[in-house]
Amino acid sequence: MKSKWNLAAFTVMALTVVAHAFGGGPEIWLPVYESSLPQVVRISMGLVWHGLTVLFIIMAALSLAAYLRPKLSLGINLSLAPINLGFGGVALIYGFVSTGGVLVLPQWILFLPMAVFTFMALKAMQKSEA
Amino acid sequence: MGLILAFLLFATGCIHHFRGGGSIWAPMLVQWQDVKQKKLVKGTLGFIWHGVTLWFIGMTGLALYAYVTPHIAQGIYLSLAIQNLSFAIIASLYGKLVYGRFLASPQWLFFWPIAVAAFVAYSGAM
Repeated sequence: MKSKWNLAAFTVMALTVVAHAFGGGPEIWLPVYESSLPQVVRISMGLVWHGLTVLFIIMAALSLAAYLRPKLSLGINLSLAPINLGFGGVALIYGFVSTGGVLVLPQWILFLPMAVFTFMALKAMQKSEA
Repeated sequence: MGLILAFLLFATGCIHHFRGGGSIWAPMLVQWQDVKQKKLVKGTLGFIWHGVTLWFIGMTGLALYAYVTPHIAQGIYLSLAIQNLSFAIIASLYGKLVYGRFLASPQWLFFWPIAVAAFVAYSGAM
């Protein structure tokens, strides 16, 4: 059974890719790249930054794959839900602890719905298999 | 193979958190404390650093879960394989393209074995 929750997850993840690459790139990554930090630090942070860009693209593609290939849907959604819950939780908690508010780091606004959508797709798949 | 994959993921996560935390993340914190910087920048860098730590913990749990639930293991292994393959490719190319040498970003030494192990596990689960 194809779940529309996966299409919703795909849409949110695509938005995340755009926000990360085009919003975060110039505002967050560029100051690090141009800083006087040791090269090993800039390289490692660059890897994390660009690796996450590709990871978000992969997660968007996986959401689409879960929609198109219901046989793989259960495993894919099961893997995407906790990962996005983790990213969303870190953004929310770390943001609150380090800045005293929940809106300075707004990334959870994308990651937590992504976790919910993949979880709903997972439940829909389990229901259809029962 | 699921257990080997879980071990590789956990070991890489520990290296990221404990070794990288001291040599990469700590200097980052010091840098931004000395420079007047927007909270969003500092917070986002911390978010992605600690998010990756949690990502490794989550993937370790998923690899273990896939090992004990073979009927849904295929999708989980495929997901883990592709996620880690993306980092393996970026780590391989980034150091070479931006800094001129492959070992500038040696993290590919961790990500390629993880990606291969996940693909082997995926093939075995078919």
